[in-house]
Amino acid sequence: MVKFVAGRLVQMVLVVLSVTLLAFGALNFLGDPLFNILGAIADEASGPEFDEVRNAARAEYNLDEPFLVRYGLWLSDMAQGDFGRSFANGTTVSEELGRRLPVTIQLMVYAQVLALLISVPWALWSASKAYKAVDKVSTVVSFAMLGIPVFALAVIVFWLFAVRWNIFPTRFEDDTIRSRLVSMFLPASVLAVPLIATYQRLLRTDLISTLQEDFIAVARAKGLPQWRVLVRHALRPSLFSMLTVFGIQTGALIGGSLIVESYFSIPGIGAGVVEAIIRDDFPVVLAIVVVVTVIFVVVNFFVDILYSFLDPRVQLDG
Amino acid sequence: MALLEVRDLAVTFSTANGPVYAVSDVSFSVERGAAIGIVGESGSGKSVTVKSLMNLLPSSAKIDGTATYDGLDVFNLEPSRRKHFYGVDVAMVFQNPMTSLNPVKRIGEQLTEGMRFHRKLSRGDATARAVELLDLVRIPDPAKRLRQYPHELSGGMRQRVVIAMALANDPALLIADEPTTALDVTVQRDILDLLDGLRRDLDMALVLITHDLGVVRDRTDDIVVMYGGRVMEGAPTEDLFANTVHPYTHALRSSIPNMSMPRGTRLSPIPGSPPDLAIAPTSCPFAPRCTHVTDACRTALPATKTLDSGASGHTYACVNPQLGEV
Repeated sequence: MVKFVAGRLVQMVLVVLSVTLLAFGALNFLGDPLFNILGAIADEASGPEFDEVRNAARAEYNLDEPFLVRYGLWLSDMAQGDFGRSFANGTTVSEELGRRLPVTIQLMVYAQVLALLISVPWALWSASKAYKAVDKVSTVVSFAMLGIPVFALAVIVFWLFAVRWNIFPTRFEDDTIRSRLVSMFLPASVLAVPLIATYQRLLRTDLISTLQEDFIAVARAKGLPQWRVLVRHALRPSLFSMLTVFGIQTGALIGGSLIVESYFSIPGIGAGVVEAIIRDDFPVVLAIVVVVTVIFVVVNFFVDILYSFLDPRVQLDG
Repeated sequence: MALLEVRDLAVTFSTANGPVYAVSDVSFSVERGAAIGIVGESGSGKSVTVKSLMNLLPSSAKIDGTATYDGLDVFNLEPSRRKHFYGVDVAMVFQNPMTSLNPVKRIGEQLTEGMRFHRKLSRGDATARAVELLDLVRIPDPAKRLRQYPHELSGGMRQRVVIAMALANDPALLIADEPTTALDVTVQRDILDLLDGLRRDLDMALVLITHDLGVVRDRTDDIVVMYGGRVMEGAPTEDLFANTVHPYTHALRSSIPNMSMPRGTRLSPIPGSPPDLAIAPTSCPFAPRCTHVTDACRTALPATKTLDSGASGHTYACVNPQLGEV
């Protein structure tokens, strides 16, 4: 176990490092950073006062250093929690992240909880009715849910539930926990829809094969009722594929949050990265890429640990 | 009255390629506290027969005939009675102990589950009873085993756990479906003797399913020999061996090695393969492989007849019976 965790930590650090190198490299070679910071002042305006501004910017962002040195400096600042200053409005990036990150994490957790609450009972139900009419109908429904693009779903759901029927607020409100939950319900549901369908498909298939196992017949022969056999005996050994995809979907969820947060005006990192990209605000983009990578890697690390809790036969060796 | 009375049982599976006649016209009975062996090769319908009794067949199976347990109609149990029938009145031990236990649950949890569900025992009482049960099936250090997972136990140990699990609610009838087939030869005998001893000690009826006549010879009161989903021959154990009538039973006997055979004796396998159950039988299912086949065997299903006018309870379904050594 210790060896496994140590091995995975090294691996995680390497993943985060390579992502930062790629992202930092890409953003530094796309256009002139100085231009992105200062706009037109960067090269067109002349005069000593502009030279001063330019030099100050060069110094703050280490633009005169070679690429690798700049990368190293950025990395060491970041390791100390200093993500630099936003090009756009001069606030520190850490401040920006501190505001935006909790909102997005709440949205992601909300979406995952909704997805699990709906997909697990649904999969149990359709597996117990496998290949019958109701199961076939639910297969069609779940494929439809997988097929709808997030941006289309966001528009439909927003129009129906917020505008037309006025059940949910059209604006993001976060003054109380309750208003946060209510106003995040639609965006979280939009993110949850493809997850629900994915989890339902995977779990249903795994449940159907688990239900063929001898130990299920043994549990039935004990006289346990069907629901108890399903929940107590079949569910846990059937969770592997779903758990794996749960980890991977964290990435898709962050991708989805770009659209959903922008559309529902939720001030999270998804909306933040979209704004930052439009403004060529490299420090913010970089910081968000790093944070998202860390979240993804950490979630998948816990998924790996969870395997051994799901099945005692799984040995965690480096 | 017999504890379990099965009459004219037929199980038909509907498949994409038409019906499969897995079991037809099967009748037998089990007295209270008695042991019966159901013997036959793969596909003879012996497993399907008991699974139909245990309500373990898929929904594609259609069951005809009757099964009466202590006066109850097993195939039409009232929901309230049904809840306390499986796992309480009747319990079952399965063929493969390596797959019979849930890999992700501790032995203790699996052992106590049935007791806690059916008898509403507290966790403490159920655990105490679980220790007793493991002791009963002669598993050393039971308290420690309860905390272990199935993969930490050997195959023989696991089968003992499965047996202990079946005994949890003191069943009056235990069905063991090839309980030793998947085990090492050295362990097989221990498990069979354990089952035999438990049956006597707990005054429990036992249905022992096997493909090996030798297994049931010393451990049962009656034997039913099945082939192609039908009963070929049924008799009290001693009588079956003393007065074997059916050519299939003869063939089974001569395909089993025996310590008293002279050195160099060749075992005689039964040529051919089991019948295709997708075809409704209109003749003796064993006819194509039988060395005593007659024209009459191929034209009609043989009726079930009794030996010595039924005095011994010996029945057989054959038009050309072979009494004595063949």
